[in-house]
Amino acid sequence: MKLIHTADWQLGKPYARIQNSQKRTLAQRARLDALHKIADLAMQHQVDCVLVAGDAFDSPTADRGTVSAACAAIGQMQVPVYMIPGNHDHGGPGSIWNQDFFNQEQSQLAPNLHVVTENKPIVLEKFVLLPCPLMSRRSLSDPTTWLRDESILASLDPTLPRVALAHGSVQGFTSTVDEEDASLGASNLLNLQHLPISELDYIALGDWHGVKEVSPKSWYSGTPEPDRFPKGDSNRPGFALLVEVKRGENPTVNELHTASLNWHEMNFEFTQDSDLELLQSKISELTQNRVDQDLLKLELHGSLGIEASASLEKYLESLRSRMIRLKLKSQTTIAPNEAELNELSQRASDPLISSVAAKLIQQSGSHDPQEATTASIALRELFSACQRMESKA
Amino acid sequence: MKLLSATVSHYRIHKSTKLEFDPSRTLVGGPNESGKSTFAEALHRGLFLKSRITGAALEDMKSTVHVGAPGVEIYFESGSNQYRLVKVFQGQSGSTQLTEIGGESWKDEAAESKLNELLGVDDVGGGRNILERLKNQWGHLWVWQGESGSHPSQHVAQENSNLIQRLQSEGAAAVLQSALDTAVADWIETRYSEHFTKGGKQKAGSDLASAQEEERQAYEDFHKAEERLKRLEQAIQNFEQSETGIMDQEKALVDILSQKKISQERIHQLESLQNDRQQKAEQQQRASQQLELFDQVHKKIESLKINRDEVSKALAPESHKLEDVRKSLDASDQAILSASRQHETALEHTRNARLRFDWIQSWKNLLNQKSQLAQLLKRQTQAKQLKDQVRVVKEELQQLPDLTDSMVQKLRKIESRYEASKAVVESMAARIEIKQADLKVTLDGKLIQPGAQQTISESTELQIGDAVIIQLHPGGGGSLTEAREKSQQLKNELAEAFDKAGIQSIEKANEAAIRRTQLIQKLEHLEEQLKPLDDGDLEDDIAQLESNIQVSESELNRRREKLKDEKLPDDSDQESLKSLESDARETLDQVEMKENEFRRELEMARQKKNSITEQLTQLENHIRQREVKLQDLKTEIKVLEETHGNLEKRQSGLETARQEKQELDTELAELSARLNSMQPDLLRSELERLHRAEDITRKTIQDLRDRRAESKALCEYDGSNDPQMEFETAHARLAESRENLERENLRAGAIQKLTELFRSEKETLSSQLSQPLADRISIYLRALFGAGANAVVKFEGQEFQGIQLYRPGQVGAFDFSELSGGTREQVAAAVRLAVAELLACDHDNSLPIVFDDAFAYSDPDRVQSLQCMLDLAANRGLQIIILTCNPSDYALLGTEVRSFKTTENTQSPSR
Repeated sequence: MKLIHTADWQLGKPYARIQNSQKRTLAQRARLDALHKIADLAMQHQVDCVLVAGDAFDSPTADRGTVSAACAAIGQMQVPVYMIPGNHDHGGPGSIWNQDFFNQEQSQLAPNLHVVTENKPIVLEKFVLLPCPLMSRRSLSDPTTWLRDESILASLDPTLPRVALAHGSVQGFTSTVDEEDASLGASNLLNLQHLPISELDYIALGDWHGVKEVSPKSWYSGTPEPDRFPKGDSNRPGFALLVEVKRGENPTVNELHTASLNWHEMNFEFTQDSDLELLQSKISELTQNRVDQDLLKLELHGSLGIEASASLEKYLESLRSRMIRLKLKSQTTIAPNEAELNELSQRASDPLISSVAAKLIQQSGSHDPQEATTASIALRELFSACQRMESKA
Repeated sequence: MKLLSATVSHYRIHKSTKLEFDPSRTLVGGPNESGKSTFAEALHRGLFLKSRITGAALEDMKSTVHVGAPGVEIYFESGSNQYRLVKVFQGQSGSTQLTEIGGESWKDEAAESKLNELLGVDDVGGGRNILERLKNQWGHLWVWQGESGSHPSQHVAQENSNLIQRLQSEGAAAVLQSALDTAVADWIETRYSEHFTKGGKQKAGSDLASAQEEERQAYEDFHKAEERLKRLEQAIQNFEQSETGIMDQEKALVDILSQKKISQERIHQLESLQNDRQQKAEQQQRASQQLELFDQVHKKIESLKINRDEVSKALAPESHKLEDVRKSLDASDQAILSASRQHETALEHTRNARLRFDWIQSWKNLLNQKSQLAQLLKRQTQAKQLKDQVRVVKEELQQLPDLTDSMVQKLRKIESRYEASKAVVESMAARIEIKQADLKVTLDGKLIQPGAQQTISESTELQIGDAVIIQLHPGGGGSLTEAREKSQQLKNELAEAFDKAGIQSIEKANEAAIRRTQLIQKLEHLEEQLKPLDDGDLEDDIAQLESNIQVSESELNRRREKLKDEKLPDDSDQESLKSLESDARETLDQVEMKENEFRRELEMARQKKNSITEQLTQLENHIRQREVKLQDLKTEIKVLEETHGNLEKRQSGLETARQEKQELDTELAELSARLNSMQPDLLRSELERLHRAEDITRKTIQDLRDRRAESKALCEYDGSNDPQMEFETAHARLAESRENLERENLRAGAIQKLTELFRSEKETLSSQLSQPLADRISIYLRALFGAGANAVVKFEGQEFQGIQLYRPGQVGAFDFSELSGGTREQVAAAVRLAVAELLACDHDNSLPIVFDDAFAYSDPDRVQSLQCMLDLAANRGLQIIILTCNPSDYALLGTEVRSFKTTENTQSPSR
């Protein structure tokens, strides 16, 4: 029996931090594209079904547009899709699953979708599905608890593979959230070690956004389309899992790449003005000068001369335009280089500019960061004004 | 440069006026309109105005009184040379000649050019407004009349570049800001004005203000989105809490219901035991009652027997006493009989005595009645006589006419009136007397016999025979007729009155009336006598008395009949009757006394009998009651013994009942102990508690269900929006707007900092640059205001902008505009002197400075200081030229007063 295990689609994620609405739409669109890819892969690998281990939607109150688009994409999968609510789209009150609109769209666009909200075995032709839906945002009890009841598993057909479907954190792995998603809170904890693992053949997990093998029988598929900047090498989002399950055997799991957008993170320190070029070449290497396919989290440190600083600003403007999102944390300070210092403060013919510049240079070295920053910016403004006026002259 | 002399020709009022200048102090005096200002103007124009000037400027100079072109000749010293300048203003024919004494000479354009070079000024040209522009030439050195108090900056403007140059060369560190400095500073100011108002406040519409507004809006949106999300989350939380609560409460309810069931079973058990105890208690009560009944009956029978014996015992003496009483009753009957007989005898005696007494009384009464009758009969006879007399009088009275005195009076009056009227008629009437007649004489047809007299009182026809008829008319005319009619009327009236009274004459009437009165008086007298004799009842009284006498007689007879056995007098008079009556009374009193005595005895005997009878009755009743009681007791004892058996049987029954009760007491105690051990109060309160707990839990569950339903309704979204997404978007927008605001704040801060720095540095530069000027001004000011006076000069860019004055004894700086008129002209003079002094460096350290009536507003007190200042300027190398109409004000300057000299040469200065 072959299935595709996926989770954490997080459809309708607002990407509110992307200011440009077109780019924001691109990021949102990419999440739907991942579903199309899964549909293609399902057909390509002739799987029996697609299992979605929660968080198909980013919010339990996803809007109608998202619902329609999601149902349409699921409808293209042409195999049964079994889905449980996760912590983002829990099955509690007010959740999307109770919306008339969702039910309408599901029946019309995705008749192959089965949203499972009950803890009871679903005996299918080729396997038994043991769903562990999350019916509230924070379940105090382990949603897999019901599987600890041996009588339930004992009552099942011994020949059919048993596949559990759950959403939550397992010990040692918690879905660390981005500081921008801090409002979403901690996930629900799953105690897999308490489960009669020998009586189960595969546990399809959701919540952790990277592919993760918890044990030979229990895997996180991760999100098919990354939705945040990478959290280290061990976190590998952007895949779905092709799983072959047999009763009484360990499953065969293969990763299928599904991501379309590239999320990068870079830290860079300027030690001299020429480092700006180095930064540019590194970023070009990373993004291949693509447009609207990358998201970059860039942290800059160090200091640059006034002119270099202005060039950096221009470069960053260009990056903002090329990237779907440039998340910039710049702690770069403006420190005029010697030539600039001379140009500003050694103007015998312009005593006023010289004396103002000298004062600003002095203040930019102040211990008071506010004063220093203000002075640096003022210095840059002065520098720019001088250049402007000179060029006019 | 020093002026040596000047001659003005054909210039308005001046025909040819010369003035020689002192190298240091020239004081020119002269009254108003003497041409001082014109001279000063001509001198200025001589130095700076082109000689070929035309138009209004030329016309302005021409004299209306002197013929010839206006001209000026000036001797001056520049460098080490002396020069003679001659200008003739004659339009296109005008000429300028400049001659270095003992040296080169220049004409016209060359002369003008050389002159400008020597004076250090630019060519002012000609054209429009030339006179205005001309004033700026050496404007700082020429204090025109009426302009001494104006701001010094405007007079210095023309010399700014020279001044700056001079200042720069003066101050060691002083540097002038460059054009770039100015451009950048201006640009920064422009940027500043985009962000801030002149007052330094943030400007509406600036980037910063927009960023703040955006941030505010973003915060508001965020707050709303957060509220919406919080509401949703709160609703979800409420729902979840309600759900958990419902589960907990339902679990608790199951627990409560199970406890309640146990409690109810125990209560049931308790009730069953209580029922048993109730039944047992009832049995015990019945046994107790039985025992008590047995005991009571036994005690009652015994008590009845004692009672019976006591009654029986008490009955014997009472029977004996009864016998005694009965005997006493018989004795009392005998006593009554005896007393009764005595009383009857006495009663008989009394009756007889009373009969006798009554008979005497009757007799006495009869005699009295008879005596009364005799008196009445006597009165009757007298009355009869009187009545007869009355009748006679009344009969006579009846026959008399019914006339009263008043009626007679009235008749008299009529009669006398009639008599009077008759006398009147007779006096008026004619009387005919037939003495003799042969013929039948008739009067009104009535035959009159001879001798007969006839009175005629009216028109009467007298016929004598058949042939003679005489109509007689008595005298008096109508009055006679009237008198006769009246007389007739009175006659008729009198006759009628007589008829009515039934009399014939007045005399008769009078008599009748008198008689009538007499009779009435007699009648009244008789009736007066009759009244005491017979009031009308006399007959009845007599009849009544006669009848009474008959009754009394019959009663007397009857009484006599009863006393027929007694010997009694048959007749008696009153006296003997009295004696009889007295005896009878005495006898009656005696027998009555006796009778009363016996009656009392009888009464006493009867009372005694009654008392004995009563005693007997009481005793008999008492004995009867005792006997009844005894019988009752006996019956009761008998009945009780028949019912409850004899003593032995009773005692046995009593014992059995006692045992039965004792057994029941024990059983009841056991049951009570078991019941108490179950703590019934606690059991019941426990059940109540469980009932309460159940109610509360059910209510809580219902409340939670309501809350859950309410929360669920709040949670239900139709998908038209996503609160989570809206919140995140709003949150991101807020963060962005804050970042932007921070950027704008930094930028605005930087602009502000730059502006402040530029301003302060400019000021520093300005103050460095202007310090030499300020120092020089201060030197002059101190001469005016004292040692503490100081000046601060403001330069903006390359321009002298203004001055602030610090005065000794006054706090703070004063702007020029804040000064009084007098002080203004003095300070302006100080500035001019300082500037002149500075610029004099390029003019052999000397420049002339002309004050034309320049201190018009200064106080006399200040004039002395002014002279000090002017003298100081002269000492420092300046050539002070003062034109005044009050030269005495400058007496302390220490220079002679000069006046204009009129030269002989009336021609224009020669070329």
